[in-house]
Amino acid sequence: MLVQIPRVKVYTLPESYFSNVSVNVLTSITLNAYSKQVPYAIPQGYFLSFADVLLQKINALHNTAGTLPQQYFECLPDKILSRIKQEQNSIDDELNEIAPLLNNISKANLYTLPSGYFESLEVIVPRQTVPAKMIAMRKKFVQFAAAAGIAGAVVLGILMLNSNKNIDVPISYKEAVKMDIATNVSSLSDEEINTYLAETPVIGYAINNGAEINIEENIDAASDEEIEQFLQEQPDLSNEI
Amino acid sequence: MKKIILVLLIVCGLTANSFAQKGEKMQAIKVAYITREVNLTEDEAQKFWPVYNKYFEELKTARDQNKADELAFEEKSLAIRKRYKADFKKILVDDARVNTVFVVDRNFMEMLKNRLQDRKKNNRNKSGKPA
Amino acid sequence: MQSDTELLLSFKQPATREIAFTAIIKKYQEKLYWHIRRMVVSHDDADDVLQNMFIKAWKGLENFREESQLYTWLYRIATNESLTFLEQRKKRTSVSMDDVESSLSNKIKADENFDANRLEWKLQLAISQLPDKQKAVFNLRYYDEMPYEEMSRVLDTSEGALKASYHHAAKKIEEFIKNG
Repeated sequence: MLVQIPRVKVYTLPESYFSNVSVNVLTSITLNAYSKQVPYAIPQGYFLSFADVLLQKINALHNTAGTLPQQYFECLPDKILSRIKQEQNSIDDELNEIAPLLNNISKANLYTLPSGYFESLEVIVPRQTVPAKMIAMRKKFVQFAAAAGIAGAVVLGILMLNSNKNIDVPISYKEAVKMDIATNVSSLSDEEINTYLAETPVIGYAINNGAEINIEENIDAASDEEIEQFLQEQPDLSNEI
Repeated sequence: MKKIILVLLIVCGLTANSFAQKGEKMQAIKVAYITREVNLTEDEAQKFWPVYNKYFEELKTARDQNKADELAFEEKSLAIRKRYKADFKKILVDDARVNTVFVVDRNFMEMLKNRLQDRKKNNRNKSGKPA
Repeated sequence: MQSDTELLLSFKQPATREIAFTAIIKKYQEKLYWHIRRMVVSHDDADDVLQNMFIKAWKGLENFREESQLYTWLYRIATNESLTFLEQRKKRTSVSMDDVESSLSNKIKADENFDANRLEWKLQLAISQLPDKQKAVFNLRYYDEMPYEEMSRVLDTSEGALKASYHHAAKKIEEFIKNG
């Protein structure tokens, strides 16, 4: 025995929740086309994403074909709607086969929400795309744990733990693999590079400052052949790969 | 909730500052460079970096302690590298790759020096005067 | 409302990144929220999971290859976050499976609107009794009307397995409602 559920909305949400959703032609076409007997809540962005898929296909068509079939765009909403309808119908049919009772239950959202929740929803994102070293973050975290109270600190801890998995390196493997090294090097200042060179313990190099400039000028003045000949005459201490 | 957001904002601001210090960008580029040159996989990377960092620290210490004595530094650094060869081999297996680790620091430096040279050249070309 | 392609292009430019991200949130927040809430039941938990999920999305969006739909990808993150959340909840409180399910039931019963006589609420109670992944499958099909092909990308499971899971879930639920 199937029980017909009256189409009563069980929302406790004020109407303002949905006020920031733009009225979409497709949605209104759909709503008119569907005077369903079962009170399904129609998902908002669902139809919009269908439009995207088909728009992409249209663009592809445009590029390859050059001309479109007559009235393509006129027919398009219907095509979209019939695809959606097909899917919904197959879901209804499916449910009718396995558990018909469920087809007659309202799908409206039941749970209560704080009012204005969606309007005021803000997601704070990390400011840098390359996360800072865990060690530095941990120190500051401890400082602020005291100030902010434990609850805040725990949330923070979870968020920070999520952002960087390996203490040993300043960037994650994935970031390392996809980095455009040349570009990043270009964006380094001379000072940064020189500081690094001065600190790095490599055999045979020392820090040079003013003296080098004139020498380098002279090197630049020398022709390529002169330089090549010189290098050939040197013992091969370098080992390049 | 507001308290959490406030704390988050503060920390985000602070991490932005600490990030700017200490040539971390340089370190990041070096990591990327080595990852590429040695062709590390994600698994290898996990094991590699703790070992490499220790190795590099030892080299740095040896350099600092032997600023005036090039030969002493060379001996020490050779000893260090010999010691770490086995550790790297465990992770990287292939001898050629282990060898790469031992030249990659110098190659990285060479690359940076070349870029500096290029910049100086370009400046000279633009203004007609030495940089 | 902008298309996903426009939003993604906008996101790739550092100057418009945050604006694009906000637009993406506004576009999908409700759908994702309700999907999450149906899994975790309480508003506060849903809020936490939703925020974490969007933070993950922010980080991953740079690498997002538009082979899959943005929407499907977001659903995937939301589902994984919800499942992880429920897993961790179980571990943290270290109670038996039965207790966890009854704690979800209690949360449902605690809602202002709860009415034990209404079929819609019985449905919620029934769903909360399902194993976590099966819950996700059922919700995606029943509420979001997601095609199996898309669901397989959200849950990394074969279409056949999903169909079977959905069928079992629906039957279980019907039983629960009839007998409860």
